[in-house]
Amino acid sequence: MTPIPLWWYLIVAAALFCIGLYGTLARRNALNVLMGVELMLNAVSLQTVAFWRHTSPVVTLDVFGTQGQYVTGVSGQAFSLFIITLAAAEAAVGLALIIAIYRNRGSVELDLFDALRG
Amino acid sequence: MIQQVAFLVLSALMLGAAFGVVAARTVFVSALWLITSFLGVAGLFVLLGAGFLAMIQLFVYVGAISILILFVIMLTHDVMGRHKQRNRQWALGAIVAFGLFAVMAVLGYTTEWPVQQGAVPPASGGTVVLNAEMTAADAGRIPNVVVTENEEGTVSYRVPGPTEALGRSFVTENLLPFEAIGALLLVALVGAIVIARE
Repeated sequence: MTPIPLWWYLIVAAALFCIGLYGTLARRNALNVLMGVELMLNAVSLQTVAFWRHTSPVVTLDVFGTQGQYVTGVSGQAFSLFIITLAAAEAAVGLALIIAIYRNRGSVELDLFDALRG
Repeated sequence: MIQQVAFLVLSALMLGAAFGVVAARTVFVSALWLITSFLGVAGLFVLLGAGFLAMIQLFVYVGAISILILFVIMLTHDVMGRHKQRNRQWALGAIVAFGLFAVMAVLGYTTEWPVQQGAVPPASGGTVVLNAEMTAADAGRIPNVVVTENEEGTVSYRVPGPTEALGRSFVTENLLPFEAIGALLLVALVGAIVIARE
């Protein structure tokens, strides 16, 4: 029924998450760090939809005269939509912060920001 | 078969572009790779039967967030300038990321997920087949089910397609999260304007 097994999606999403994690940990530029965070959010969103598609309850439906097993809930998709909204809010605030920091310090390179170091 | 090929092509595109994001020499090129990666995720959403999410992914990520990032790059940077892109802890970061990937891949492959064999209904939806396991009372409790009664008094239970079901869930079971996320988005955007203003 489902030609692509769930674990394919899980491994691809895990790879995307870890690439984003590396980008967040290893890059100096604040914009690149933000991009890494976006990649991680995308990976989680993909994984949520994959779980929705493969593990939500199924019901026997009559579709155009043929009976079959169909996924009925949409909670996984709704969750994913909320993640996308959160990512939009996070990107807006993050980019505003980057602009504000750039005005103050003239740079967006994170290892130059050590004003809070004790 | 064709779905598996599509999956592999889209995954390779998405992961390759993601590598481009973290490996590019300039921020601008990173942002362009990021757009490609978002497109790959949208394709995988289509493959999973979540067409509406794929469109939202295109509108929000490809259309809005990427453009916002490109604008900020142009506001804050010499666009094609080549700076040192990695910090001192990059090797440690790579080890942590690869270790986490190994753990997640093994767990994802070995865990017995409670997989259900079902397809995504078409946009027009389908009618619930009533039998001993699925009584009328059970059918009435299916999320987002539409109950209709014709002139003869026969009640039928229709399950809408995924997009319609998503819309219905936002005014029924997911109403509170929907309103909360709307309020959060408003507050975040007002906050962003306040922070970015001179």
